[in-house]
Amino acid sequence: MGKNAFETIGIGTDMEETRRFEDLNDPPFAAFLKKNFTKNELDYCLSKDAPAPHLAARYAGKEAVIKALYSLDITHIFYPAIEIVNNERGVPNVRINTDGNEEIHINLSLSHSSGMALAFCIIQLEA
Amino acid sequence: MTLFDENKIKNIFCEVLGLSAQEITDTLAYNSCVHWDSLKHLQMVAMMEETFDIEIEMDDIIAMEDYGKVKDILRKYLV
Repeated sequence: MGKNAFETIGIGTDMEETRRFEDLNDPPFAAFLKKNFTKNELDYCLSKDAPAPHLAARYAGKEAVIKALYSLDITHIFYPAIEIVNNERGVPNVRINTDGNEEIHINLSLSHSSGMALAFCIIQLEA
Repeated sequence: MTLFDENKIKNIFCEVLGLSAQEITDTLAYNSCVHWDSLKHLQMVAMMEETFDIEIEMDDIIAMEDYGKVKDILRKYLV
């Protein structure tokens, strides 16, 4: 029997409350940002007048990517290695900053309102 | 190597989860405590790393399912 196409496709989704990303001076939150966000991500988010929705969306994005990876039994990639940076058209691009992941193709969509941020991720593995 | 100090671990749990010291017991667990979600988990891990000047491996971060296991895992990194 041929391989089921869904065996090579993973999906993940996540939503976050933006208010939880507002207090940049809270020591646990500051330590969390330093450990789990890349310099590029922090530069982008902190350049905004209101960084919280952007930080929340990126964290939701990392969660969605991890859930999609786990659905494909890929469990060795963690938050700091997942970098989400917008391209020139504003589309979030995901880069895995560890070696040996060339067969993983990731599409991610982010959205946020005043109160919530949402992410949806589809991953396709090369056959 | 930094010294194991349960009071410091408990203080991190209290500060991040917003619980009293009496509520932090060995059976307090990620999947049964409404205050302990993935964001709070990563905040506690980051605080433990800063407090004890250690770097916790990914597998250990995932295995920290309850307060008792957190202490057991940290003993590997601390004396």
